[in-house]
Amino acid sequence: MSDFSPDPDELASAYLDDDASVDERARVEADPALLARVEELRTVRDALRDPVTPPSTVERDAAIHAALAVSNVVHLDAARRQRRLRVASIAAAIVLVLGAAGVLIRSASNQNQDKFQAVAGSIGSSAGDAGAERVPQAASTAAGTTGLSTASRAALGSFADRASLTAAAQSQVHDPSFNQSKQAADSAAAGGGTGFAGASPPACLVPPPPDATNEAYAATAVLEGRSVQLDVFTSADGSLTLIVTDSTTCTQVFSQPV
Amino acid sequence: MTRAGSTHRSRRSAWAPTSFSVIRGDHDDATLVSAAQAGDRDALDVLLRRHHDRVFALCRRIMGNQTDALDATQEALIAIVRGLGRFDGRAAFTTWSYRVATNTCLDELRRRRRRPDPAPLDDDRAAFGADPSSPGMDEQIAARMTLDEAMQHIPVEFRAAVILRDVCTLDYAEIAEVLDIPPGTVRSRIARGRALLANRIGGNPSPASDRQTPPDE
Repeated sequence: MSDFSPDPDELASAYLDDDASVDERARVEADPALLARVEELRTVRDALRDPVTPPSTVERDAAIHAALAVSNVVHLDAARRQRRLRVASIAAAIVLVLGAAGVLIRSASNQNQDKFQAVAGSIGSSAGDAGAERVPQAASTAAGTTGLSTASRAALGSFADRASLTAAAQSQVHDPSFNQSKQAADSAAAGGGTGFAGASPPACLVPPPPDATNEAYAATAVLEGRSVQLDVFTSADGSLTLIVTDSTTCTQVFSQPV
Repeated sequence: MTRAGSTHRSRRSAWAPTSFSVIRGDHDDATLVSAAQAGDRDALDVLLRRHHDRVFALCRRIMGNQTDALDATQEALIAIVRGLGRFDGRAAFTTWSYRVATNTCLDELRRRRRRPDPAPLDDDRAAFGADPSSPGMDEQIAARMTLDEAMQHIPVEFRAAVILRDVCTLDYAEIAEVLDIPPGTVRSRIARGRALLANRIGGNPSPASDRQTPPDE
């Protein structure tokens, strides 16, 4: 048994909307009171369907223009977002390019350093060879050989023969201020950084004597009209050896104890 | 003037998608919506003009007077423009715009519940007064006022359902979608609203039932 029965107004309203079931329709059509209620609701519906007073053209245009103006604001916001995104993209691209360039430069620098170290190593291993190579200071220093750039070396002056040059070098090495000048030279060499020392040409890489422990002195001079570099090495027994190299050809001119 | 107008249009054409560069009034809603969503201002203009009167009729019945209806219509159109980007096309644009407009009107009415009732309906008299030669004008004004006055006593939830059915001629399923309620509730709300209106207009107001809230609220 079903006690559920829709409200009479709901029945009449559904009937009016043609939304009533077959049973509901039968019930409405069998009940004059419900039919009368349907007519009352129909009157209400017809009244609601009467057209409303339309707004004037001005009022209508005002409403539409107001909405379109909002559309402008919306588009401006979108454009602003796009612009910010574009700027951020450009900034990100710049950062990426700079980063990549930095990596490339560092990589190239490492490759050069490796190459120079390899060259210096090969030269160091052939210490008995009388020849010399022109390599940057850092590479030669790493290899334990001399390579102070010409700008970092003291200039001894011009000499007419080997004896006077040797004597000058000897006096420099045994001079009390020698250590200070050497430190200055070392400092200048260190300040040159890892690359070529400014615009000065790199010195010739002079292979030290087999028993050399360190370089005691480096200088440049003019011997018999040609530029030479002087390197004085300290051996394990404390003796000093002067090696004079032609700065232009990097070939050894002579060497002798001082 | 013409030159300025054509310059403006050509600038817009460059910005708008090529396929919608010439918007005509006979494009369907879906085409216009797509173009408007892509930024075509002409399409948006056509769309709003096409639906303005429907939205206004809905607002006019819900709000109960011309002035408030004009305000509500403008708010509804603005809400439509703002929400257009979220319209996914699953429902008809007409149904969706009714939903936006209904919510706009109901929000406004709920805000006004805390304020004194303005209740002047003189703008209707003024509107009719613009054409004094209309036959049966007094009767129309009287009937309209009676209907509007009666409407103000119907709970807004019932009112909206009745208007969506009788003014906008939506079916129950569409009304359910607009109001986001089950179809069964639509049927009962329409019945209750119509009954209350019929009682009011027929001189049978039942204040107790007028003030009840929807059973499903």
